[in-house]
Amino acid sequence: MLRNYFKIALRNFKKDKSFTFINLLGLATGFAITLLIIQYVRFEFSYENTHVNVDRLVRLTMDYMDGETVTAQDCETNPPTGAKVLAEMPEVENFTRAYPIGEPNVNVAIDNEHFILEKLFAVDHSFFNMFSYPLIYGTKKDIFKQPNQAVLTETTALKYFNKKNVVGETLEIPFAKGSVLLDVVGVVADSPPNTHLKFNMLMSYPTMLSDKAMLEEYGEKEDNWGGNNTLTYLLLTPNTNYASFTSSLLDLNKRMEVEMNFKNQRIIGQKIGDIHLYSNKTFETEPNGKASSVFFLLGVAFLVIISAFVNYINLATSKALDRAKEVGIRKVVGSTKSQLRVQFLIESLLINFCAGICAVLLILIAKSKFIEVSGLPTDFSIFEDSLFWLILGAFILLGVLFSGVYPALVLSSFKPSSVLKGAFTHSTQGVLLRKSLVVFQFAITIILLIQIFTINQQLEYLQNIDLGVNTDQTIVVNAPTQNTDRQNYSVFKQELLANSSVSLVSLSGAVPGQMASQMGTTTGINLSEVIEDHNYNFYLTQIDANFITVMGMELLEGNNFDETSHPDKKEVIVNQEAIRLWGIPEAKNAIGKKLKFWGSEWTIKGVVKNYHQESAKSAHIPIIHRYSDYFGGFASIKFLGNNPKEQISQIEQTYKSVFPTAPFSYFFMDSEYDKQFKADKQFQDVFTVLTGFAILIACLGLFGLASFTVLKRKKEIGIRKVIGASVVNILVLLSKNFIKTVFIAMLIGIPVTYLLATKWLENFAFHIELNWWLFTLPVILVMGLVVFSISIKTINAAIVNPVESLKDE
Amino acid sequence: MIKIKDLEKYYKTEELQTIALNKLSFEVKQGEFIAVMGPSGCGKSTLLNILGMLDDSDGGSFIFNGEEVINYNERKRANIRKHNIGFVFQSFNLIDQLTVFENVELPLIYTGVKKAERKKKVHEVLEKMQIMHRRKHFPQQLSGGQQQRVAVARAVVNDPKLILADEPTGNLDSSNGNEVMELLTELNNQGATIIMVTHSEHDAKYSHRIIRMLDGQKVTENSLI
Repeated sequence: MLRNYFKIALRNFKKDKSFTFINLLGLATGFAITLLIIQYVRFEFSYENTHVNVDRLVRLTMDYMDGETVTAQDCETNPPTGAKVLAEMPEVENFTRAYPIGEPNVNVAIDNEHFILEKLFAVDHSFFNMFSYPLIYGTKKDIFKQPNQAVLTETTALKYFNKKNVVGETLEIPFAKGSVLLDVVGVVADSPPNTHLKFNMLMSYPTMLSDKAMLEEYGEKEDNWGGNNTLTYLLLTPNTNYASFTSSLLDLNKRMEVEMNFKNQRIIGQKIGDIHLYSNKTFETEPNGKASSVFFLLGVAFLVIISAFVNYINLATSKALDRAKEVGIRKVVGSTKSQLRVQFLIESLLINFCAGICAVLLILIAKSKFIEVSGLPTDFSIFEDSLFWLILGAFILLGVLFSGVYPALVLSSFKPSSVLKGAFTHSTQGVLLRKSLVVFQFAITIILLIQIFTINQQLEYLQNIDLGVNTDQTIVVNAPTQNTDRQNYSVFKQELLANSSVSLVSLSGAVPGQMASQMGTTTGINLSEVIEDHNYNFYLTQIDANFITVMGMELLEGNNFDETSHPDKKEVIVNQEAIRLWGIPEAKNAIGKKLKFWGSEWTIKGVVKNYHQESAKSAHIPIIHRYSDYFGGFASIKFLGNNPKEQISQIEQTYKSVFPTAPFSYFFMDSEYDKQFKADKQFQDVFTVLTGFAILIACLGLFGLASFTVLKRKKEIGIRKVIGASVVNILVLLSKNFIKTVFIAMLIGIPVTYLLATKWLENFAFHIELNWWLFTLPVILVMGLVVFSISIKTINAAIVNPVESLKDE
Repeated sequence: MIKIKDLEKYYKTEELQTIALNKLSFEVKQGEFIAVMGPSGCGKSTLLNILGMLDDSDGGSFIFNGEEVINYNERKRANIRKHNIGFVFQSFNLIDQLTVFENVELPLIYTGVKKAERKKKVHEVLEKMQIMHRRKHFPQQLSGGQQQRVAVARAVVNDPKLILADEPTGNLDSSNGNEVMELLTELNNQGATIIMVTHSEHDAKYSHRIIRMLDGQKVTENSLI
């Protein structure tokens, strides 16, 4: 019996090649896309899972308050925070600090060789007990209890020393006023890709507190409640209820407010598993993902696979007419309903199983491209994961259930007495379901098209928005780390300007396009004249007299810094957002006003027009520019001509000649802005690919349905032609129902997508308005596709001599 | 073998109700060969479908082999059908995707006959119908007469007690038609009960008794033996 079912299924597949092809391709792409997205989503949700204690690890962060309003959320805390929390809260078993050193990088010297090192953290001894970083070389006991110790990752060890076991080696990190010497005491495996705290090297936290050069550079003290520059992680005691931990932390905040005058700020806990997808605070260790985007993609992936199932149901029920006779005969010769159901389910199983195999092949082909587009780690494994195969198996079963059960039920319930007599046309229940499914599929297509148009428009808008700064032809060079070098800035500048293609050079602590966290922040800066203080968070950076000109910023009122400016004069230039927060209505009113912060009084010398420090994705931030001519951050070099390669090599030569021991590193200013769109571009790319496939699958289904519609009405087309209908008449006749369906789909799709698009745009401080054409164009496109698919089939049928089509009956 | 009494069947559409069978009663004995005649729409095929348990009736009684089957569910009816009844249609109704052999084999599969025995039985019946040489062909590769012989082979392969034939010669030329009628007569001689719906007076003459119908009722009944 089973053999007979398989045999007839295979013969049916062979007989209806286009039907089989459409189903296979639709299901296989649906499976492949959904599987890839699920793997991506699983990766996004797997963050920190490599740590055995993941459920007990918590990061402490700071909320800054103005009354009850949160004005800033900062990942970094004060150095004594961890110890305080450990002492006061029984729920806490241990803590470690992780102080990011030299953001974005430091210089490492090994036997006169210099390396640029990113991602260096100073951590406590307990770090190795809390996080799962087993030492490959070295011993955990007493590690990092002493100053001047370092642990390297395997890759860093290989890069610096050409070997893995580097315990006992020493290395030197030069800072402005002296160098830190570190003994390597251990080697750990590289940070996994799915952690927010990736590092290349660790140094012992006591180094921060006792090494002379470090103290000069960072001035960190164990009891410093004034500055928050370190990350703090807690290990909760086993079985601690997180809610009760949160409420005791709240109590601790209240006690600290009373006992320590810890005002306008609040220590907040955050499960480390939540950081990657749910945290977007200042000073994050890396740009985080967004749970909403991940869920959105997952949603679309499911729509894609449902769309593929819908195709199968539609095509199978349309084909019912062909199969009706077979069903009738089988019933006549003794088949029961359930035997017929099994037969149709086997067909569905065969198709879905083959689709599963094709999906694996598709994934094999698309894997590397997908990894590139989605930003997954390059060594991301898909097939090695047993869960992948389980999910694939589940999809095949789901496919059999969703796409096989309905046709099986419909087909098996045909009455042989009607179908064999030819009285059977089609079952009305099937028609209604099929129509609803087609509406559903068109609605999905319209929704996805509108979304993709909105996303493209918005990102294009953001990238073309007036940033308020001119990023063209600007190369930014990192300052050397040592003070002796830094003092040679004027020589460097002179030599640069001697080059005829360099037009201007400026100094600053941060450059526009970098994350705002590159600047320092200070809360509660207020005008001296104001009695009621607010606790807003301000960004502070240092600039020289050329900065505003080099950046092409617009000075609205007051004066720029000049040769007479000096840090001791305590003058600042602020932006519009800052004066708005101080309640100053117009720029001209701000000039000469006094500010109080850092124990001094500062005078507002000028007001610049708001510019985008970060990309246009974020709102304008309040920025205070202090004067400095010290080469501590970046030198921005404006060049003429269009040979950046040549420029870089010339600048590098100059740099090397002035600062011979400092490694040269640079970037283009416009690329810094582009970097900030990386995540959005990835989202856009993945979404575009998904939408493309969703539309492809919908088209396949549409094409299949169009073929069957034409086939079913072949005789009618013949009769109409005999009595004088033209090809166009017939095209209109056949398209009419589909066009109606598109209209219904449009009525459903547009409100849904309007809500979705509005919600998505709310994520952006600056966004486009939803246009009428964003909604109409997709509908027109879908209509076009409908008419196109129907036309191909109809024209074929309509040009046939009607005698032929009538004879068939 | 068959006893129907006051059998009723209606077809309803939104606007009107058509009576297909109107309190029809008659009996058929084991081994009889009955021809049912009448104009189009008189209810012949409806009757055949109900007798073959492919369709429900709306009232009356239907006793098959001493069993009242009128209220049987589909599963029970399918069970009686596959063991007792063979069908022959005007349009042959072979499954296009199956070969001659596989088409004839199908009823044996559904009655759970073992493979070796199936092969033996199918070969026997194909020999008898003189279509053995065509056993590997698909229906569309055969002539009408050959297709109907395959259909008859399929109808009798299970040794049914009752053969229902719905205008079995309707799509055939006269010589092929006569051949099929000879086949049916031979099957009847071997003990099968046959009920045949036909328009052809010529074919009806092969039967023992002709029941003429009009508007769902029996008009006359003439015995030919």
